[in-house]
Amino acid sequence: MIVLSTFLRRPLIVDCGVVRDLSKCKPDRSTLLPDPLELGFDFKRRNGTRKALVDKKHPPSNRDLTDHQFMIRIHQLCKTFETALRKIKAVDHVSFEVKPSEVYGLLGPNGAGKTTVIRMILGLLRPDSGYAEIGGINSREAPDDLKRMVGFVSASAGVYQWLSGREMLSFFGDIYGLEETNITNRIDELAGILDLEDFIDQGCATLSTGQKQRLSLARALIHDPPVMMLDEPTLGLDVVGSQVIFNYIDLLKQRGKAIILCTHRLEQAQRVCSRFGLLHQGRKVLEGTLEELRTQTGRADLVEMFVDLIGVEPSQNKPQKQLGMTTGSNS
Amino acid sequence: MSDELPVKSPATLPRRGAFKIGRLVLKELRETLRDRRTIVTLILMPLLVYPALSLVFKSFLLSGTIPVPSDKPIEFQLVYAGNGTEGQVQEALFRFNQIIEVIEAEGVRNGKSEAGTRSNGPVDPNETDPEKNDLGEPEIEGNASFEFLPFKEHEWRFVDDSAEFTPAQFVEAGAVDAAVYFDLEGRQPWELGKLKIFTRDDPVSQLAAKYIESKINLVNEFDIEQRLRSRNLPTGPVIGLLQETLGQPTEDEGSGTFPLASIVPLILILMTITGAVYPAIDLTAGERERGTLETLMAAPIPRFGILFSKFLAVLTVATFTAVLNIVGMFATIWAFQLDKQFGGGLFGIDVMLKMLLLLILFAAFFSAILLVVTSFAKSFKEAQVYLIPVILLSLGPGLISLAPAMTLSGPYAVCPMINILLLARDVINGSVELVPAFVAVVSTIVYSLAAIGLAARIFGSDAMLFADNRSLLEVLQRPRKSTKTVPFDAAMLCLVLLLPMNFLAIGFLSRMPSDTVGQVQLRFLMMGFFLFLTFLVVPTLIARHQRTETGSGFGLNFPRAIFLVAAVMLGVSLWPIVMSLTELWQHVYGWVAGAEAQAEWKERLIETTKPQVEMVRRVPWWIIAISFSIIPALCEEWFFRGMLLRTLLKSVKPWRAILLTAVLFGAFHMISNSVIAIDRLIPTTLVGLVLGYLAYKSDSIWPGVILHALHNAFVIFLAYFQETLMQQSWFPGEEEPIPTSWVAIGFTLAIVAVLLVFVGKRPMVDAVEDESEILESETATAID
Repeated sequence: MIVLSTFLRRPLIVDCGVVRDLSKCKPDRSTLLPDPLELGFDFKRRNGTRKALVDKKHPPSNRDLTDHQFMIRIHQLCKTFETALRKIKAVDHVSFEVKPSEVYGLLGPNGAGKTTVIRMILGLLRPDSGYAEIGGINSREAPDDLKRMVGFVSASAGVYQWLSGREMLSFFGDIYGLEETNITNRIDELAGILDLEDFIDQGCATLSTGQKQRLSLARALIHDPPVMMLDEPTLGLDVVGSQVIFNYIDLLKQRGKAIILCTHRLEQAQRVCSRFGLLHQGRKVLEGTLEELRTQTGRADLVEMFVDLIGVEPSQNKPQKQLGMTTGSNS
Repeated sequence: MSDELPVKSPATLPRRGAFKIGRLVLKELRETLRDRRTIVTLILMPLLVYPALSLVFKSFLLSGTIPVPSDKPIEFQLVYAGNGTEGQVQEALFRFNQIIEVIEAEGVRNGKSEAGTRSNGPVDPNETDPEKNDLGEPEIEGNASFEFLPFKEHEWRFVDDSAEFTPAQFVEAGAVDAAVYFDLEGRQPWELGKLKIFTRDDPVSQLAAKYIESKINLVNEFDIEQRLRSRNLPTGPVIGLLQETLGQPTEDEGSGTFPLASIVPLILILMTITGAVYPAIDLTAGERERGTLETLMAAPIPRFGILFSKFLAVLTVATFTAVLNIVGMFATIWAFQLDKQFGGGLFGIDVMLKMLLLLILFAAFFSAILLVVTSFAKSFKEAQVYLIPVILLSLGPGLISLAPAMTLSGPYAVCPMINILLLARDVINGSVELVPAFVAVVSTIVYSLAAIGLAARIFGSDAMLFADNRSLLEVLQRPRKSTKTVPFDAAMLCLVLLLPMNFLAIGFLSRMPSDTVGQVQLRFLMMGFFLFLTFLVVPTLIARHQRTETGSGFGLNFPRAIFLVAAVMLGVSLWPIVMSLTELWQHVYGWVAGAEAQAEWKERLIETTKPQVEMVRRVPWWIIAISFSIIPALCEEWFFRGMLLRTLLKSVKPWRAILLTAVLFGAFHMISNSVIAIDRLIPTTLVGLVLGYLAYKSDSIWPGVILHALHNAFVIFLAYFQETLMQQSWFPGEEEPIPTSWVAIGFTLAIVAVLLVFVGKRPMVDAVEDESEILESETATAID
């Protein structure tokens, strides 16, 4: 496994053999990518007035604003799906936190409940119980304000066939309440970073998968959210294409965003994520940094941990108590 | 794009909401209109379909009314008669026939146009041929064989004076296609005689007449031309022509074949549907399939906003389609002169506009229905599969409405699609009746709103977004846990069910005989029974099915005494206000429609209600009390203030819930009489407001039941005992307005009572429960 340490320090975008140095692309971008905390709590509305995002009934206390360690707090989320035959506990009391400048790798085999967790945070699914909090905004109290703070990319997210990339970005800018001039600047800027310029005025139907995915990323970033949720952002992309995305995730991390990343590309995850949460059958079975996971499981890398995890049925005990379960459980 | 953005202003949240919806609609439209498939249905269809259709119309449907060429072997059955012997009449006809033969022979020889150009020129030797220049004495070659067949192709019979029937009677009975009566007396020297044609109002008969007429015209024209050309003879037709159509002519004179007024709306509506179908599928199921819906849902817009913008986009496209189709269709009708062929004049601009409005209304209704169906589908194909039965189903009412006997009244006025089609037909015919038209429009709006509400429920549900096990019936599924109030969609379903049920009940009641007191009694009791069935039993069953606790779902808890007091006060004080409002309405109607119309309307009202009132007075008072006061009060409160208001209070602000309930209450009352009475809308809605406020504050239906029962009792028993009361000098007669002092007293009392309600405290126990329940449902329900 190659760890591209140079990439980490100096974000580069690799696309079609062209290596671009991001720091040289457009030098003055600091105003457009402000401190995420400030963004989150004092979001600029499109009419220019500054207004607290949070519901007036439940304002986050001042302590929250300054001492808030966690940008994302997931508290005891539960979701059961009912089919005609049985009930499936898709998510079972999952909790975790993510700090700014942290990439939380939400990993697990297919059907572990990762996507369901993300959809519940975004309010696309209604949790049976529990809640998500982003920047102190509760998903139950102000779902729309919460959505405004999140950029969401998923593998299944499509693009509008009959709109051009620019039109789509501008549409989402409007929807997220950005000002007109802001949108124009922001699109230009994102087009520069993500190298969209060649095709941004083209109809989306003609784009390649990699181009679509970069456009989706731009769409998620149009309102410069302090929180990013990436659900399989590299699905269907080739090595170079996914490398581009991961490099950009790294850049976002450096810019102070709190990021939740679901992926099956474990090598890249291992490189880019600060901490991991491993889900299996709706429960969180492991959590920690790579070092912590290594000590807990006795395994060197994520792939091995995964194999252990899938091979073993989780016991009925509380997941936190069986962190050491994978040691010697190869049977 | 930038010019479409509104100018910056210190906007508030609602405007932002509207802006976002506008922005969404714009995006949906841009996406839809760039799609080739939309363009096909939107522009190409109207451009191509109407000319094609009109050609079909011309060659196929109208073939019956187009004059048949003479060589076509249609044989008419004809009789002839005249004031003379058979021989005389035959002779006249024979001459007539001979001339025709000559003309036709001449036409073949010289060509028709030549005859015209030579009219003033020197006399042509051919023209002065003695054989034909003197029509007064055509040469008859002693034709005694009487192989006589005027206009040879057809079968002729002579009717004698001594015959059993006159020629007219033959025609009227349908024994022959037409009859000809030759008047030989008093003819001018240049005349053969006068010919009278008898026809019926049926296409063949008309054709026969046209055929004879054309021959006569031929002879006349030829003769005039001849005489003008050759000599200076007096002008005038050879045969004077009279025609009489026997029997009752049908509505549209001369058409008799196809009701254009019915088929135009049907085609327009079907075409509008085709315009709406594609965007409806594409913007719901299509977006879901392409994965863009999830992204949109993750954006900070309420789901209802997303759905509503999609609805608006579909409606806009459907409206475009409607406009193009109307223009296309009317242009075709105008260009092909179809309107003339069908009788009836050219459609005016006002008819087109009215048709457009109707189409937009229908488009709104159908777009909402389409969104309900397509919201279920996860892919384009699935949506198409779902839509096929919907479109087939919508053809049914379309064909039904083609029947000429259908009128916009009774159940048809509330039957979706049929009502709009019939209304459109009436608009084209110019025979719109105000009340059924109003009912049709209002009911369509109600259905549309219900459908949008349902679509929003389906569209926003978790299962529709991601799971794949949702079926159509699952909206009707029982909740697993018991609920405090009836769920919103179940209450809406109930409302939609009650509207047609109510109509059927009214229809049934109005068919019941009511000639004797016993029958009237039965009818009143049945009325009570139906009320009980629709407004009490159905909601209760639905609540049961939804596992709603009856007590909390219908507000059966015992209220505070203050509300009971207020209810009694309002019960005795509202009726003068309501009555004066009804009178006020009459005045308003008088201003709008003119004093004459007002008087006529009032007269008609008194006329129609008088026998009813008479009957009412002969029924025992306890039956009146049960079926006009107690049962309506209990049942209507049970549904409106019980189920509906309490459900609405869970999801909308109290005043909105109260207002909505009151308007629905008023709307239901407009049609709950055997006569549809618009004048009841406003007073009943006002009473509904008071009832709603009372039920909201007291958190119980019982004060409302008391108020309702007392109020109804006052109104009905004042009529019941009117004659007795009128003998007392202080009670006003039928024609007199209600005394102002009564209204003043009622008003004062009502104000005091409403203040009492205002002061009375809403039970807080329940309010706290409400909030905890919301939290509970979100947090704790599935933990067990």
